[in-house]
Amino acid sequence: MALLEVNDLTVKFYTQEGVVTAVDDLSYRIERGEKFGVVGESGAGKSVTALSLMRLIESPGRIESGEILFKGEDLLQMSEEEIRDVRGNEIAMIFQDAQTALNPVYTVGEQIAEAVRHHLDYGEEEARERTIQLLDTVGIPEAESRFSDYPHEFSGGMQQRAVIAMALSCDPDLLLCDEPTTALDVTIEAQILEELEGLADEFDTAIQLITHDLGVVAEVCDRVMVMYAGKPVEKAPVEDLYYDPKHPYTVGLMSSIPRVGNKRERLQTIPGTMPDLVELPPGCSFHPRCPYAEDACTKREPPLLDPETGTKVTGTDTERAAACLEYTGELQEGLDYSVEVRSESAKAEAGAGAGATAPNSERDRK
Amino acid sequence: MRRIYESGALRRDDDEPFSPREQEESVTPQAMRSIDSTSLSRLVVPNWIRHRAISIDVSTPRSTYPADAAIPFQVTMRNAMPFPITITTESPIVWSWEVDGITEASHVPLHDPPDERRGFRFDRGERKQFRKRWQQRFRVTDDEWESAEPGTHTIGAGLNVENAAEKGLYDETTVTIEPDAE
Ligand SMILES: Nc1ncnc2c1ncn2[C@@H]1O[C@H](COP(=O)(O)OP(=O)(O)O)[C@@H](O)[C@H]1O
Ligand code: SF4
Ligand SMILES: [Mg+2]
Repeated sequence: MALLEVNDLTVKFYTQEGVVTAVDDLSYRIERGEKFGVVGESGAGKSVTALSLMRLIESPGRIESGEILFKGEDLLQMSEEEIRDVRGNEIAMIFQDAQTALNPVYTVGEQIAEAVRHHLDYGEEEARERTIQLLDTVGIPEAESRFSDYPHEFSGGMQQRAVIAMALSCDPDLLLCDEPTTALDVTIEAQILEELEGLADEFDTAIQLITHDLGVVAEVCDRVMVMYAGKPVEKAPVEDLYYDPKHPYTVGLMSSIPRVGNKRERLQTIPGTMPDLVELPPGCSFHPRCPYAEDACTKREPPLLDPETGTKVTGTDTERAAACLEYTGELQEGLDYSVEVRSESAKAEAGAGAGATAPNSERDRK
Repeated sequence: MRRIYESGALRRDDDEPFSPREQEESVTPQAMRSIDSTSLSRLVVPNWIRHRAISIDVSTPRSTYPADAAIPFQVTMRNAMPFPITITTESPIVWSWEVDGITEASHVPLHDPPDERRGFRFDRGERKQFRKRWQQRFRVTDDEWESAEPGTHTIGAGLNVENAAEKGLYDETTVTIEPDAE
């Protein structure tokens, strides 16, 4: 049995502008101890997906349909009490902004110790010791004396480490990390990711790592799901995704991976922006931005397909899938890009060789 | 874009780890205010005044469009009263648009909202403006769209109340799609 199996999850927000379909019929699976990446630009539905797993979405948001099986049990059917028990004990979450989780009026140590007491039924002294140990594990120097510091006395990176310590305090089976390093600078980011990865291995915790940065996924994850406009557009083991991306959006994301060590200088970004999820374009949601879009793309929405056979994939069992009409044979011109691996050792440097072979992105666009 | 972490659509709890902290500013007073005046308007304002208070207008910048061009349209709702008005709608979908009578230009239902009424609130004198686009497509199945035929089409929008048109809570306009000049 998979640790987590999400089947046909749909989440909508009822707003006065219209219905926002933030997550649309999403399915995926995470195995025990696995590191699973969810990647996509801002607004793709990544946070709403994670928060739905924690059952933290409230009105006007609504989980409309689907199941979230955790160790075989549907989180969506659980009572409020049961879900509280899962939250923190078995599934923990790290937010982009450490301040979402840390309370400014309590010391960092107290907050973690509180979580430890709560989840492990420890006494005060035991909890304190365990907390100091955890702070040390996540790389906070002089853990003992920093126990009684307030969150504002910690740097951003240290705050995030403290949040990781809190998340690990109850030894969860699944850790949801929502852009845990986006707010940090590159060197700290690398350290934290490494820490996270090591700890997940040590504690045998599965990770769902959410990021807008494919470079981050490359560092940490085993398998990846690429999301666009609330839907999965590609699923693949991380190596396959890098060396042989099947969806034009993935290719676009790859060419916008920052050069190693430089967050600012993006190679190239995908023209245009994510559509408003109140009003998706007809056909393939990506067509207004896709350099390969044809007339068919404005009239047919591609399902997730096995790129080799072109058969529709459903459920969570497939290793490799992409949602593009290329694989139904409905494109006349076809996709035309190549991936150029600039350095054997650094996956993150793979970029789309857009120059020579990709068509002019202005051509088909209105 | 609305952001989930900054919105009220997120459970917050200061005492529970792993749920976001409660927000310090503004959120609560805002919500309180709307609850108060919502119930106030329900209590004292008769239905017929509420319906008459709100007007709706649908317009497009031009009356003809070439084939395949997106047709932008604007839906404007206005509360003429110097006090807030809340219209009770049939579901959480408080209003919708349609083309030739087909909701959101889709032959297949796109939403299955919960069977709950919703109060659609207008501040005093408030004007709400929504910009939409019709891509000259009709959705014919879950994953297929067809181009609209050249000729005249009606774009309408109305609040989600019974007999919206009779209550003046629906409006429409027409546009002409020119045949392809080939
Ligand atoms: N409170 C809200 N009300 C309406 N729409 C929302 C709300 N919160 C998020 N959304 C919408 O849900 C979509 C997905 O958001 P999110 O999951 O935060 O994206 P991501 O994490 O990938 O950047 C976005 O289009 C966003 O506008
Ligand atoms: S279906 Fe068309 S628009 Fe969508 S990704 Fe494929 S080529 Fe691009
Ligand atoms: Mg997010």
